[in-house]
Amino acid sequence: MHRNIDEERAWLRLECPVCRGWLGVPADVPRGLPAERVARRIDAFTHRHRACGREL
Amino acid sequence: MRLRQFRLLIVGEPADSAADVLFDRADDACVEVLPPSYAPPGAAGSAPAAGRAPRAFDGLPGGLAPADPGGRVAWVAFDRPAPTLIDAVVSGVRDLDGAGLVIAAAIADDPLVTLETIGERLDRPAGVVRSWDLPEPVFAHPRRPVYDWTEVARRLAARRVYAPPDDEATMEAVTLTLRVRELRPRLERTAPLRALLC
Repeated sequence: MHRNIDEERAWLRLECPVCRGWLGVPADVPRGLPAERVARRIDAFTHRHRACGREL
Repeated sequence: MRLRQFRLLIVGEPADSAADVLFDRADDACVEVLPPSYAPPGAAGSAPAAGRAPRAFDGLPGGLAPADPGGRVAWVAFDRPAPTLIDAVVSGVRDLDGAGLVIAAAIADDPLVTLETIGERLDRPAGVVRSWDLPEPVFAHPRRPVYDWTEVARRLAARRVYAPPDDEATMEAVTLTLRVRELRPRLERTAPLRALLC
């Protein structure tokens, strides 16, 4: 997974290197439930892009 | 305040500048952009076929697959505490309006869930949920398996552990209201329409 980190941004962009689909998530998430919710979005995105054929 | 999870399907791929504004407004949102291959013709509005992993577009209302075969489709997913689902969805619409994003529809949340998501929806710790007899995960990771919520909810409902809420009416009502808003500049007046709701 490509991470595009810009210190000016309030969000992180994760991109599939094959299809160029991407996921934007908030950068500064408190620990606990908010972090788990973002982790779930990343897990779902990662699972979807397994079909693209390259490990993210 | 209960956690409300839903998505707003948006028209076109959001520019970084629009995402900047959105994330400044909403720290409970995530943006996802998919290639059109995730919305095969005929898949929109259909339930997942038995034996295959859920696709991101499962459960979408018909006609929402991208018209342009080369076009991308994007949504904003929300994890928003609110007193009611409609309050949560309307506040999400306001956030996207503020970012200049055009909304095509309000739709159900992503069907892919983790043990933590299941636990939060049922108010149980993830460790407890892990010990339950859940359906096979769509991805069997040793620490972070991914499940199809449709299958999980069906099994838990059959055991009377979970009563699925009727969220479909809210999503459809918001989508139709947004459609009327889009048509508003072409209408002579809207008061008669508002009267129809009374």
